[in-house]
Amino acid sequence: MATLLATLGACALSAFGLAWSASRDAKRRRVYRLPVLRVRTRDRWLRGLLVLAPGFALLWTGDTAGFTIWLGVLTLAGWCVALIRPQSRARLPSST
Amino acid sequence: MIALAQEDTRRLVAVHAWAGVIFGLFLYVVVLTGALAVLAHELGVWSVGGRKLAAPMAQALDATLREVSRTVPEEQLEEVSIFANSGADIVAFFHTHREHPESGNIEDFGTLVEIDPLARAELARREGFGRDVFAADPAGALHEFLVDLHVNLLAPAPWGLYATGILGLVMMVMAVSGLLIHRHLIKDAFVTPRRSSALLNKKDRHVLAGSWGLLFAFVLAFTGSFFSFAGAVGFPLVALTAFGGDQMAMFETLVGAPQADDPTPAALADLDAMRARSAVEAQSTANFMLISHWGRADARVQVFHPPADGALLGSTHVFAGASGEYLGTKPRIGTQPSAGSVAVELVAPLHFGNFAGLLSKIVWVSLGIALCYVSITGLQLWLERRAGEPLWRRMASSVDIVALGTPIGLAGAAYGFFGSYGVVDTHACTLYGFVAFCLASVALGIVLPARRRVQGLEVLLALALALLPAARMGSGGRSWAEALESGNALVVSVDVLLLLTATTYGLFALRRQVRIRGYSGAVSAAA
Repeated sequence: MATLLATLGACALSAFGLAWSASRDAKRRRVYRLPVLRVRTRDRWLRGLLVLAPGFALLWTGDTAGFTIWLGVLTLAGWCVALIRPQSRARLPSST
Repeated sequence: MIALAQEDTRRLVAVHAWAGVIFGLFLYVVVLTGALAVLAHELGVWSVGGRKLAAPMAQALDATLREVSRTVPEEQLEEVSIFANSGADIVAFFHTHREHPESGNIEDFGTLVEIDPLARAELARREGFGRDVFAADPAGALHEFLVDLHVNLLAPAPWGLYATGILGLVMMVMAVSGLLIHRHLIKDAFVTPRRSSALLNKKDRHVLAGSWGLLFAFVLAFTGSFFSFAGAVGFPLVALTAFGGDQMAMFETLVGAPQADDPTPAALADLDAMRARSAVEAQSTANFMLISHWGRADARVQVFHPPADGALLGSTHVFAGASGEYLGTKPRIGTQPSAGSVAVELVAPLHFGNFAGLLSKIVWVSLGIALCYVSITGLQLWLERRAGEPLWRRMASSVDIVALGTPIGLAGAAYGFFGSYGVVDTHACTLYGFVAFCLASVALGIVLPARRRVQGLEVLLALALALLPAARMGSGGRSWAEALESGNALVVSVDVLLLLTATTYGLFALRRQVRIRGYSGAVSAAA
């Protein structure tokens, strides 16, 4: 049960990290005419850490099954996060 | 970003696209059936209405098996395989090896005995060649059909296996070429499909799903090809190159030298005690046992276990049959643990996704469905670009028919199973059900006008899935109340999943109807 909870927790943290990264992604924001945010290098590293650290923590504790599941969930979560269109409230007016 | 010369990129795009056009539909069928085959065990349990107990292999079996062993011919004690079937009955196959009169191959021949693990009583007994006695059991017909379709595409052995192996190699080529031609893999990772045109939207959807699924596409393709070619081509090649053609020398290295023969009669030690010891070592319940030379001094008992909690690999534990002495674990390859053996052992869990119960299976099914989406959107992208050409328009209809006709055919297989279970040849009827529903999908796809084709097939799929729980119960399967009462929540879960999928496809069809009406209204208004 503990390993299951650890795996689910790691997947949830990484999915959150992916969603956060997507919300700050400059290209995505440009495509949807959202104001591009100034991203500090420290924030970028923090988000990268949030995405990857939970999985490697599973590996470090010897939970190889959890790590493999986490890899699969990361793939699916990344795809789902990218498919969701950003909210239009903050959208910039079109130049045309 | 991977920098390639323009000419190289053009070539790779051509390789990626043409491989997709030629093999895309076959790949879709193999990947979809593979995604469902991940749940083969669960579908098997669902098809027979649930299991009578959760862990049949944890029950005491020694006394019953010992009693049965006295009733089979002595030569069939050469090897005994023991496992639980979909309904949680214990299957023990006492067998020797004999030349099959039709194939000319040396095959298992013996007596298959089904045992009720609760009542500890014999339920059924059949004698014959392995493939015949196992095929006579209707309980496994549905999930065995699903696995056979995935592995062999219904083609005769070994051609089906070669075909799916080649498809795995094609999938690897497509994954690598896709990686190389997509210049902005990281930069575009979060860019949602654009809506500026239908073509761009399709391209973005294909690229996005393909980019995120790249790693698993490669892993599944590689492991699948390994399964197809390792036995038929890989090992003979190893024998030829590393052992100068000496297959016996190769087997001694890969499996270990056969132990010295000792036919001295000796009673087999307590099987339950050996199983209990291996369960402690493996930290999981055994799922398979293999006993060689039952009743002789050189008897060996191998107990196979699924992975322990948090582990990726299962384990095999060996005992001296006569004394019950624990001899240790047996690596898959060789006699000592090695990196090579671990690499080979990793192939199965990475392909089947069965290493952590239902959670890993759900993730693997989702990954498989994502890859189906990549195959179909890739084909649609190619066809959309050539919508004006009659040849490609005809192919567009076959993409719709195969994309929706395959799941319709699989639902048909389930109807064939339920309609014949315990009455006539269930294995044959499962196949007939699949073929009949596939033909119905093809007929519907041809008869309906192009703009109604997908909608019509979606309605047929929704109906086929929605009525499956009723068909299951109608054929004598447990009702939801009975299933829950007997601890078979899995049966109810599969039924609910079918109803949800049917509702989803029903809603898709309804949305198309609204679009078609809107389009017809706009055309009328313009006229």
